[in-house]
Amino acid sequence: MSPSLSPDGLLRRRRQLPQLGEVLVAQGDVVEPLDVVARTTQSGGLALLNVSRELGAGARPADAFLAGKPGQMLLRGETLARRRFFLGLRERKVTAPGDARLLSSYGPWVYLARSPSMVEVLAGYRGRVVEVHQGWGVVLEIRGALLQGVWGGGGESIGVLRLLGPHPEESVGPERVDERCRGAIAVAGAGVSARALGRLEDVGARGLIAGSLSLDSFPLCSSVSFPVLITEGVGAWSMARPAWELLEGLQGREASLVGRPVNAWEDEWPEVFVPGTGEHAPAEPAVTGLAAGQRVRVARDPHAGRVGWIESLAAWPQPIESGARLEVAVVALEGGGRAAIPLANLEPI
Amino acid sequence: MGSRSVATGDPLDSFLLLDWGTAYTKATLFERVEGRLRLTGWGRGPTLAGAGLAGLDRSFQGALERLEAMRRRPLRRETGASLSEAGQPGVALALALLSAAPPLRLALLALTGRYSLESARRAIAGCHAELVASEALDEAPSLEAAIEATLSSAPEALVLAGGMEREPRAPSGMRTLAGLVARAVLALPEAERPVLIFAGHPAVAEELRPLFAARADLWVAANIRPRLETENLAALRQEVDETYLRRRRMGAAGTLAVLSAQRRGRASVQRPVLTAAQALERAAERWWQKSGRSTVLTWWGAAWAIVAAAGPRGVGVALRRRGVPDPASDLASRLAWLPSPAPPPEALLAYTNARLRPASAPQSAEEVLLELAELRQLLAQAAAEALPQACEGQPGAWVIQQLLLGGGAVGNLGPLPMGPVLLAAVDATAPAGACELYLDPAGTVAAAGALAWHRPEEAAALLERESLMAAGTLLAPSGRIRPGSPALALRLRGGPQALAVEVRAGGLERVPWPGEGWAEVKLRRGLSLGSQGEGLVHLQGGLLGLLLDARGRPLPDSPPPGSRRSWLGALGWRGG
Repeated sequence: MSPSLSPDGLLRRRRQLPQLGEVLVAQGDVVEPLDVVARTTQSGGLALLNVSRELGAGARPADAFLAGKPGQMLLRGETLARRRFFLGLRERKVTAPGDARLLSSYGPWVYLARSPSMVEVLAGYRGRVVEVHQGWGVVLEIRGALLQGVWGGGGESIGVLRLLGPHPEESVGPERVDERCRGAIAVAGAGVSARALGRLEDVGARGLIAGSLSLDSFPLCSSVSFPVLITEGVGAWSMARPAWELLEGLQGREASLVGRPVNAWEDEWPEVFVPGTGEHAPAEPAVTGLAAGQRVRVARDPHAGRVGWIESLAAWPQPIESGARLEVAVVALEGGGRAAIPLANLEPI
Repeated sequence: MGSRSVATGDPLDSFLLLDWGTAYTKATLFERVEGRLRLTGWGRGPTLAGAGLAGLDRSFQGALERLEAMRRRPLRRETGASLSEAGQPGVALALALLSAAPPLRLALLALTGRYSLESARRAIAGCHAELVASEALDEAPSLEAAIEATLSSAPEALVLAGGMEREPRAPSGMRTLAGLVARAVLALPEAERPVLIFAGHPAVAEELRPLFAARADLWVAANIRPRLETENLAALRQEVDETYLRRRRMGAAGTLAVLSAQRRGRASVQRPVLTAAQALERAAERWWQKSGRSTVLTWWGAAWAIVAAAGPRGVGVALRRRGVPDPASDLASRLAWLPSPAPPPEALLAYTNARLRPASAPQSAEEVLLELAELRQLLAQAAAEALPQACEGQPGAWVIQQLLLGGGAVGNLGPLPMGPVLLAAVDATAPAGACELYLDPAGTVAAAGALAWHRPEEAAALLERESLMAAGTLLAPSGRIRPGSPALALRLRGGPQALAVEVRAGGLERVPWPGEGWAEVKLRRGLSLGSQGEGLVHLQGGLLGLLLDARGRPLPDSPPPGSRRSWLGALGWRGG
């Protein structure tokens, strides 16, 4: 299980509601990234109030004091329950803590359902609906370039790709960020400084793709309003050259950035996708394992981040630097050199 | 193939275990040879991604293909999907272990922080679960706030515990809490409703049952803390494990085509899929019952560290998850075992990057050292939960007579760093006295544990010494004497050559000793090997030999600077 990279391919992406709702498109429909494909209402959670205690009525059942009936909607501040004293001359009230529906009572307590919110699932990608799962969502067929990363956060967005530097080895400072980044998904080779991250937020960038981020900058990612995708890891790693070249060739094109965390169980990775023709090899991750002739990226030291071509696969486990014996491939590294690298540390490109 | 039976009690002629790990999926075959079940082959392939079960099924097919190629024997029918039925080539019993799936999101609500909450937390520590909320009524600002906080964490399951059984009638606080929680759960929309697992006073459970009627949302376990001095951890653990497997769709008939042949054939297996922790717990228990020796199994996978223990106090199991660490809080502490005074910045980076790619393997000596540091730290945390439930002794000095290290990552580390790997496991569990050491790169113990759920006697046969990889024996006297003074002297007899070794206090020495034999052990006054005693003792050797540990017990958490590097060196570590 590893992230993948493809310049042009045919992919499928599930777009699904978190709970049962309504699908708004039909099989065969062509959708744009901002089209709503499904929606549902999600409950706002429960509120539990000890109404009788607040009315000074001890543990007496709350239903004797309720101002409305189960099922009734209440606006914030509206009277939920009341108790009269002194022959009805004085009154004590409990009001709704927010917009909510009165559900039921149990002893002195009352259950309220906070107002539900509408949850909409956008298409997220430009593509065609090939499967409809009634009430749940759709599967889209999309064609284009794909780059997946090892870390993501901040949700989803759409914007135009904009490179912040001239090469993948450059770590970007705030001077590289200007008004042209407004509405764009910024691309930085070897990461961005904390100040550059803040500047991207200030100018209204819609996303960041970087080879790496420093350990200190990671917590800042949760404070920015746009999604972030990291392709290599933590530290000062340059973006792998094939990834950089792919994004460089797509500069100025509209991209979908999905900054979700890695979920290997569901085969979900943070990714950026740019619509294309899909005429070339499929972009889905290889599932049949690695093979001779395949282009790969090395995931771990001592050759981390380097790219090469598999020359051969060893038939039996071989000794490596640590002394362990593992299944390895002999990889001809671009830029020179040859190394036996554990299969677990190779990512197909 | 001979007779095949699962239900009749006849000896199994073959048994297949599938192990769905985060990095690798393994198929291990055991066959009856000369009257005994023996490991006869295994195949391993990468765990492939892809929408949960579909990915796992493809992963399994890959591992099985390799196993068939190795054994030159078909295990599947032509469809490639299912194990063959009786009368055709195949296996008599197939079971599976799961550790690749994400943990169960679990919330815990209890009556008292000190008793029911603490006991329930100990039970849950032994499950593949992530505690997303934890509230005790006596510590929360209000009952309403505790319930709202618990439910707002959107758990998949909610454990409700509390109510000691001093009287048949439940305490009113527990009845109120349970009534409120049950109605709150039922008031949620069905898609957002957690499974309610009740582990409190039985009288309250009876009050809850009618509310849930025929629904599947309520599961009742034995009271986690019926009395002050009694805990029922196993019952809650089992309910949480079952919920986890159901939620990950492992219990559904037909989901695992590969295991379905057993149902169509003569036999029926109730639990074809278990968690790795369930299997290890059962293996530890079985080994303890069979040998009468307190047993600790440590397991190191790509996503989990597990410690299972069985001994005179009972059975305990605990897990720790190997996620991406939080740089601000636990990153440095996870690497505290490194031989340098403080982890260098590049080590923190390398470690975090390794965790971003959990299926990758350490390649350089430095990366192996990082892995060992994490192994020691997470196993120590799990051991702190599991060992008090099973072993006699105290933190830093537990009476452990058999210690085993297994799991997929042990196989990844390979044979050379065996010494450092065992040292990390020893430091995590701190055995005191004489302790036999084992390695299990093939997963025999997990297989025995899975088999023990169905065929306990057959499982016991897999726990013979010859089925495991004996690494040697640790001699670790308890007590403390002045560092540098002679602590332990050993004279070996009956081996290939007579050998005398002396270890000074604070030191650690390895003596190659492949076989077994008698040795004369002398201890400095103030030190003790417990029931093993001094004098002439019979010692088992192995791949590592004898490990003479004169560092004293309880084992110090912060050893003198530089000493850890020398200990690693004594165990054959030649890395940085």
